Amino acid sequence: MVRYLETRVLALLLVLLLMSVVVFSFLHLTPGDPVDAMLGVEVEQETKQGLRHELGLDRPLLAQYALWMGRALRGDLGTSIRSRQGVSAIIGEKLPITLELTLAASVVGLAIALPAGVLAAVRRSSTLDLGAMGIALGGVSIPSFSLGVMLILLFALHWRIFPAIGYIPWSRDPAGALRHLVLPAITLGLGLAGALTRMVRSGVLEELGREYVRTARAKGLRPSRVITRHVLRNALLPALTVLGVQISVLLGGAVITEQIFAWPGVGQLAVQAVLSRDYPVLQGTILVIAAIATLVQLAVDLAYALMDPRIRLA
Amino acid sequence: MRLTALQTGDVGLILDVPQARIQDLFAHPSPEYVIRLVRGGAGQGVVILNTRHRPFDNLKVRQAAAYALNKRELAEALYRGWGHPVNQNFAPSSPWYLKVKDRPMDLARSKQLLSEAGMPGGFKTTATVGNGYGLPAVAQVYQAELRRVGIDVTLQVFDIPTWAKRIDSGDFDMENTGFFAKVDPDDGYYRYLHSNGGVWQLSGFLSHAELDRLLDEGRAESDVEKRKAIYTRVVEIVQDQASMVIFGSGDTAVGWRATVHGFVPQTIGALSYPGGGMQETWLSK
Repeated sequence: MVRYLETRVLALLLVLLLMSVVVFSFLHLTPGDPVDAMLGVEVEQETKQGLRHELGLDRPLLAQYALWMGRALRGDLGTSIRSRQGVSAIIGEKLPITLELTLAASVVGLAIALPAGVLAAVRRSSTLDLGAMGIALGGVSIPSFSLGVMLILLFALHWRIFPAIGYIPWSRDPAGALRHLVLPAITLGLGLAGALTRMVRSGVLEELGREYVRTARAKGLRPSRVITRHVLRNALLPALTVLGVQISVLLGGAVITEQIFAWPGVGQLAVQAVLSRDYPVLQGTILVIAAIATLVQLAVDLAYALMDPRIRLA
Repeated sequence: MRLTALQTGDVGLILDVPQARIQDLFAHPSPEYVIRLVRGGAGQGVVILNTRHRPFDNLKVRQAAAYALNKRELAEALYRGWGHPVNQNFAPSSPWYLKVKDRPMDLARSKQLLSEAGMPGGFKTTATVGNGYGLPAVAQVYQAELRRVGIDVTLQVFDIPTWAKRIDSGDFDMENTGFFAKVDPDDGYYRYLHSNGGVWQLSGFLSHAELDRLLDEGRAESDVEKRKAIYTRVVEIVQDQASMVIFGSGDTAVGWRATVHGFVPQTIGALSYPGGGMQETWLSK
């Protein structure tokens, strides 16, 4: 198990290193730089060059990367070119807000997918099954930008049940925080629900045909107990893998959802950093998101190994 | 967001109150904060035709395009109801706003000039547009206006850094932008129009010997009346050459909490300036 863990952590570091190289290269290949973003067109080239020199943007790319990586290895992600604040501090402020949204979306996704998937499998080919699969298909098919706008139109503008945009910290107003969280969490969580429902349904269906289920039923166990005690434990293994992948997707999807709902998380931060070519902020943001996604994947793999001893032995 | 911060008291003073909100703020004044209009504070809007690119290297084509533009519509689009048509880089409220008759919109004259330039049916061109500061809205307006005389403009919209890079390198047929408000005509004209100017590309690289000479003279002259004569001629040439079509000047507004005292807004939006600004400002709370 320790060897397995070592290999995975090593792979994680390699992924992060590769990610940093790719992000750095792509950022510097796009036309325009932070100075163009800050000063626009009405400023003389000499002034722009002076600022580029001050910010170190006129150094060779390799030297810029080495400097950034050297600092990053010491835990210093640099300083925002635009706001002059520390990148670690900015991300530290925004990340919990995005994680809150991602967690809420996961809860929404699981709360829909588990009962819907199980019911669809148990009542196979029934209206319930068709309905659940219809919702699942809708969940994976409707883009979040479209769903988000529809939810705002219905629940915020028409019925005025939830606020359209904004964020309130839980520490300030828990009820207000919850009301602001609902629509973004549904927008982000419905896609996850769609993907998971299909996985849970097919997993449960596969397990229901196995002999141990027939034995459990023959022993007189109640159908609900057969499902919860025996079938789900095995059926959820593939769904767990999907959940791990989907959490990474959620973190990426948060970029769009945060824009729609003016949710001040790392997604919105990343978009602003792209528009202003704030290299340190964008590099730091992507690196942190990549690290979280990779760590979630690692956690899923470990949970998988714990749930299925054959994986540990392999 | 800045306006909300002012209204909630999170900040004491903001510049550039969103123009779309100014009317409403004046209609519903609050005892908690002051909103003050700054005439001409939003600067000037301009459409630039690149004299190094065909067909805008032809004076008649540039003039044809200029005659097809409706300056009031363009100013409205850029300054959201707080724009005024002008033909120079100063607002009517500035002492350096000079009496030079503006070119009226004249579609018949525009078509005639296109015919004289050998393009009676018009031509196709591309506008390089920055995706920000209200620039795409202005581009859509002149795209529609120029279509009336057969000039078919394709809008290429880029994010601001990419757009800025293209404009800096002169890689555009036509574009539109906004200039900051200015105090002195040397600052308002030299850097854009002199062939040694720092942002010469923003005049579409207009190369004009008389203009260079006048701008040098204006820089060296201290007599106000003589300077006015010099810059009046500069404005006439700029208007006639039509590579830098200045179409409008915009107002802006500044807001401050009732607890902020002594602040006098300045036309160019500086927070600190000789004899005023933040050094004269104090809080009563």
